Amino acid sequence: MAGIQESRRKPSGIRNTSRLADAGIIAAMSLAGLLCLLPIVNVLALSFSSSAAAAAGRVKLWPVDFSLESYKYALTKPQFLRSFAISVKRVGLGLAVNMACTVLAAYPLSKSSRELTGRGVYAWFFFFTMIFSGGLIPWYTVVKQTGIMNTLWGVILPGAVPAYHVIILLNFFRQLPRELGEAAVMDGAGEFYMMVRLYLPLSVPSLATLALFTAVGHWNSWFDGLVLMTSPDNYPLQTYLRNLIVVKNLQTMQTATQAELREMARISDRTLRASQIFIAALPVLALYPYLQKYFMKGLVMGSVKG
Amino acid sequence: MTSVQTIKKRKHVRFRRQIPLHLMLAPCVALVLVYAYYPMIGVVIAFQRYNPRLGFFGSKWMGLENFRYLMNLPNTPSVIFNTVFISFMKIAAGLAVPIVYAVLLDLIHHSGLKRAIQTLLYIPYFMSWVILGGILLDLLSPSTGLLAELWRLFGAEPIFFLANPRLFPYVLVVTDIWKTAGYGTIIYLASITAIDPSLYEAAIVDGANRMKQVWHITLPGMAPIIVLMMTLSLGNVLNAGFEQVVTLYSPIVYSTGDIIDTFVYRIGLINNQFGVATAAGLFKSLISFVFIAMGYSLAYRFADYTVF
Amino acid sequence: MKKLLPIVLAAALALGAFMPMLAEATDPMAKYAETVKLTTAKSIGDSLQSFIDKKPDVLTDNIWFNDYRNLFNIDVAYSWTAPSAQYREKMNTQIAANDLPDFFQVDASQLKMLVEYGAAADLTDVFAKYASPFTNEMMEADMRVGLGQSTFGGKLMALPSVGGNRDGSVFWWIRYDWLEKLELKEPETFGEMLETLYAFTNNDPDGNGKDDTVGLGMVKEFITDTFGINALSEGLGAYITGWVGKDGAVEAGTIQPEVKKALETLAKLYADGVLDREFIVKDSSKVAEEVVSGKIGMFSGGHAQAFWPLQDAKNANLDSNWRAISIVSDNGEKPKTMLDGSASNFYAVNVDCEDPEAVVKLYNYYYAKDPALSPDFDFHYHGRLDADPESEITEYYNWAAIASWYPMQNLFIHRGVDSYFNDGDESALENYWIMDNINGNQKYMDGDTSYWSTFGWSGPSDYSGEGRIDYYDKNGMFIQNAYIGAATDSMTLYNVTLEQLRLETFTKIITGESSIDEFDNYIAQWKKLGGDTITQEVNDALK
Repeated sequence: MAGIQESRRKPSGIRNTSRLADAGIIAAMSLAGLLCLLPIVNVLALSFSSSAAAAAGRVKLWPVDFSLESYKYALTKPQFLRSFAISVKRVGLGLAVNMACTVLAAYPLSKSSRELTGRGVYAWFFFFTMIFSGGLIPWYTVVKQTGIMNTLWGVILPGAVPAYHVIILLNFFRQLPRELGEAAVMDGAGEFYMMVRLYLPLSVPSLATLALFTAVGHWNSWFDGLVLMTSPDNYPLQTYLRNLIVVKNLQTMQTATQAELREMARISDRTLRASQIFIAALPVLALYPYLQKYFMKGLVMGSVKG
Repeated sequence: MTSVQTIKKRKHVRFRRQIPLHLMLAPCVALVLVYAYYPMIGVVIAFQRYNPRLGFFGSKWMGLENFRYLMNLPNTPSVIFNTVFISFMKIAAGLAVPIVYAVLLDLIHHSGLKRAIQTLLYIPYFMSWVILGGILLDLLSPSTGLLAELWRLFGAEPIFFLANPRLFPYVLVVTDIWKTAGYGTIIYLASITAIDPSLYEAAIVDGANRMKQVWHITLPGMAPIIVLMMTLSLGNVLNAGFEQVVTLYSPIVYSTGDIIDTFVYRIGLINNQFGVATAAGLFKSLISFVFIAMGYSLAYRFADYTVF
Repeated sequence: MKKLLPIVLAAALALGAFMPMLAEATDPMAKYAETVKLTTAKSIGDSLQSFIDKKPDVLTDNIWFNDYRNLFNIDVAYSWTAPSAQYREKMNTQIAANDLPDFFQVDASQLKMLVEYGAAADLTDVFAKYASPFTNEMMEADMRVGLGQSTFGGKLMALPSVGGNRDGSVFWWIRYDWLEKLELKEPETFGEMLETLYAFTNNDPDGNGKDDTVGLGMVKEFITDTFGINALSEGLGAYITGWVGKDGAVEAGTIQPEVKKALETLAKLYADGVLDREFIVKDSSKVAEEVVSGKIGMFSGGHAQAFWPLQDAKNANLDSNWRAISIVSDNGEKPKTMLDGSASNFYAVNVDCEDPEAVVKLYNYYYAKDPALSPDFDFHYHGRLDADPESEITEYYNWAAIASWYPMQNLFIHRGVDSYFNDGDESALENYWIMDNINGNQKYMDGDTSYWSTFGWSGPSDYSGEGRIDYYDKNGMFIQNAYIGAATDSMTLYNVTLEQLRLETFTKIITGESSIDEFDNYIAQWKKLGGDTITQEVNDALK
C-alpha cells in the first residue's frame, strides 16, 4: 500500500501543454459529454411530469406540470422493489463467480507456452465459446438438467467463465513486468501466492474495469430471466422493466376484451415508465464514478518500484 | 549426468511447477464443458427440420436446406451487403472514437472535470434503444426537430435523416457511437494507467511536446490493448446491431438499413422454423470465427503479438 | 327489437336444457372420483400482479380454483407464469424446448406450430362428448368461426378463446370538435372525407394561428386497422390483407385494383401534406402522442382506441371530442369492413395429457359462470363491484384457468347501455356486464372525465366504438374474409418476401418516389415471387 500512496504524489500524465489546446480539448469533450446527457435528462423530466403532458409529448428537457406521483407509485410497487433486490443479489453473486473464474483462467493463460504446457489449446478452448453457442433450446435444457432452473444460479453458471474478459485480463497480466514473477520464483513462492499477492494488487485498474463490465452485464440482461424463471416474482429488474417497453401489437389489439384494454391503458403511462427506468439506471450510473478512483495513473508502476 | 537425464529432470520439474496452473484452470474448464460445449449439440438444428418433440436426434435431417432457403430469398444479397457495410463502419468508428476519447481525456489535467466528462459520456449506454429511438425521432424530425432548427439557422433545407436511404447507415453509425463510445473508452483508460509515469518525465526533460508524448508514449503503451480490441471486434463483422436497427428503421430505408438480424427476425415472425434462425446464427458465427482468426494471425505475423 | 336476441337465446337455452337427456348419458359436468391433476401456464397482467402482491397464493386459492377442486375434483396448478407483455415470447421458448404443461393458451401461429409438431392433443371427440349445451350454444352464436380456426385437417386441435369477430371492424376516429368548429358536416362520402382531411390540415382547426395540424396520421408499418391505411382502403373496397371472392374463386386482396385507388389517394394526400409527411418513420407510440397532443384530425382504428390512446387525449385536452364514424365509399354503395376470425387465442391441450376432457370441463365452467348471457351467471365469479380495489382482491374472472366469451359480448354490452340511457330500460341493470358499463358511462356524464374511455367504448350512441360496430351490424356493413385458416405452407415460405415487397412498394408510391404505375409491376412481382402458389393453395384449402 505504501507504493500506492507514494504514486499519488508522483507527477501523472502529460505536461508541457499550451493553454489554448487545453481549452479546445475541454470544450470538445464537454460538448460530447453534454450530448450524452440528453437522454437521461429527458427520462428524468418525463418522470417528474404529469401523465397527460407526457402522453402528449410536451415534455422535452424540463418537467411539465411537476409531479412526484410516478416515484410514489414505483417505490411502493412490491414487484419493482422485489426485482430490484433480486438484481442486486444477482450482481453480487455474479461478480463473485465471474471474477473468480476470470482471474483463475486468465492467470495461467498469461504464462508463455513454455511455462504452461497446452496453453494454446486452453486459450482456443475458451475463445471458441465466445463465438459459437448451441442456441436457446440446449441452453434451456442444460439449465433444467443441472437443476438450477428458476434460481439465480441458472442465470449465472452458464456464463460463469466469460471468455472475452479472460482474454482481456490475460493481456493486462502479460503487460506486468516479467522480473516480478521471476523474483518471486526465486523466493520459492507458489503460483497461487504470486497471483493473489503480486498480480492482483498490481491489476486494480483492469480488475475494476472488468468488474464494472461484469456488474453492468448482469444488471442489464433480461432475456435469461424471462426464459429461466417460472414466475415474475423471481424476475431480475430488467426482465420486469421489459414489460414497460414492449411495443404494442397493433394486429391483435382489436380482439382484446374490455378488461385487457383497461390493462393496456394502465401500463402505457409514460411517466411511470420513465421513473422506473431512471431508478433502475441509477445504481450502474453511480458505480462508475465510484470505480474511477481505481483508475489512478501510475498506480501500477509506482507500486512495483516503490 | 548426461544431458538427456538433465532434460528429463527439467521436464519433470517444469511439469510439477505447472500443476497449480492446471488446477486453477480445472474448474473453469469443467464449467465451460458443461454449459458451453455440451449445449453445442444444438447446432444440429441448423441442418434439420427441427421438431421439439423429436429432439436433436429424432428430427428430420435436411442437409443444407435451411441455408439454401436463406440464401435464395431475393433480399438476402442486399441484406448481407448492408450488414457488412454498416458493421465495418461501426467497427472502425467503435475503435477510433473511444481511443481518441481516452487520449483526450488523459490530456485534461483537472481531475474533477475529467471524471465528470467521463461519467457523462458513459450514460447513454444505459438507455435502451427504445428510449433513445423516441428521443432521436424528435431530434431528427425535419419539421420540428432541434437539428432542423439549426439547419434553418444556416439557411439550409432540413434533411429527413431517418427516411433517407443514402444517409441511414451513417445515422446508425453516429447514433451507435453516441450510445456506446463512452463505455468503450473505459478499457483504454485502464490501459493508460498501466503506463510508467517516469517515461513522461523523461520525455519532458527531453523537451518532447504534447503531440510527441501522445505519439511516442501513450499510444505505444496502449498498443497491446488496441491490437486486442481490434482483433476481437473483427468478430462483429456480421453484427450490425439488432435492437438499434429494429427501433430506427422503416420500410422506406429497408434497401440500405435492413440487416441479417432484422431480416431473420421478420422471417421468424412468419416462418416459425428454428432451423432457419439457427442456420443464420451458425453462418454468422463461422464468419466471425474466420475474421478473428485472421486478425489473430495478422497480429502474430506482423506485430509478433499473441492476442490470446 | 333490442331485446329480441336475449329472448331467442333464452329459448334456445331452454331447449338445450333437455338435450343431455336426449343425447347420450355423459354428464359433462360430473365430478371425478379420483383427483385429476392438471398443470397450466398463465399470462399475468399488471392488475393481477398487484393482487398477487396482496395475497401470494391467490393464483390457486380463489373462487374458480376452489370450485374446480370441490365440484369436479380437478386440481389445477401453474407450471409457470409470465407478465402478459412477455407471455408469447416465453411460450415460444417453452414450445421450442418441448417443456409444456397439460394445457395452455397460445396464439394462432403457436397453435399451428404445435399441430405441426404433433404436440397438441386432438380434441374432436372429447369436445363432442363433453361440451355443455351452453358451450355449444355459444359456439353456434359464434357461427362456429372460432372452432373453425381451431380445426386442422378436420380435427379440433384446441379450444378457442372466443372474442367475437365483429370487434375486428375498422372505422374512423375523428376530432368532432374540430368538425363543428370548422362548421363542416360529418363526412358521408369519400369526397366529403377528403374535404374534411384538407380542412383539418389547412384551416387551423385548433385555432392557434399556426400551421401545425394534419388531417391524417399513420404509422410506418401502415397495413393495419389501428393507425393504418385500412379505414380509407376498406371504404374503397380494398382489403389489403384479406381474401376476396371473385368469379367463383378467391383472390388476394392485395393485388386488386381498389388497392391502387387507395394508394393513389394517399399519394395525393401525402403530396399535399394532408397525410403526415413524416409518418414513414413513426411508430405507434409516436402517432399516439400526436393524437393526444392534438396534431391529428382523423385516424383509422377500432374499438380498442377508446382506451388507448383516446383516454389520454381526453386527459390532455378536455375540449377534445373524439368520435367513431363510419368508413365511406366513393361509389354510392354501402362500404363494408372486413371481418376475420373470432378468436386470437386458443387453449391447446398437451398430447401427453391423460385427461383432456377435464380441460373441456373447465371451459364449460367458465361459460357457465361468467359470460354476459350465461343463465348461471354469478357475479361472485366475475368480481365484486362494491369491493375497494385498493385493499381487496376483485376482478375474479381473471383467476379462471380458462376463459372464453359470448362472441357478441361487447356488442351486447353496448346495446344494453344504449337501451338503458335512450329507452330507459331498467332491466339492463340486471346483467352484471351491462351494469358495470352503465355505471362507468354515468360517471362520465356526471363529469368524471377519467371515465371517458368507457363512454368512448360502450357509450349510448353510434359514436362510441362498440356503437359504431352496432351501426355496422344493423346496416349490413360487414364482409367476411374468405380465408381465415392457418398459414399455408407457401405462405410460410414466401410471405417474408411478399410482405416486404408490399410495404416497400406501397411506401414508395405514397411518398411519390415511385409513380402509381409501379402498382402494376407490384402485381406481377407478387405473383411471381410466390403469390400465385399461395392463391392456389388457399383455393384448394377452401374446396
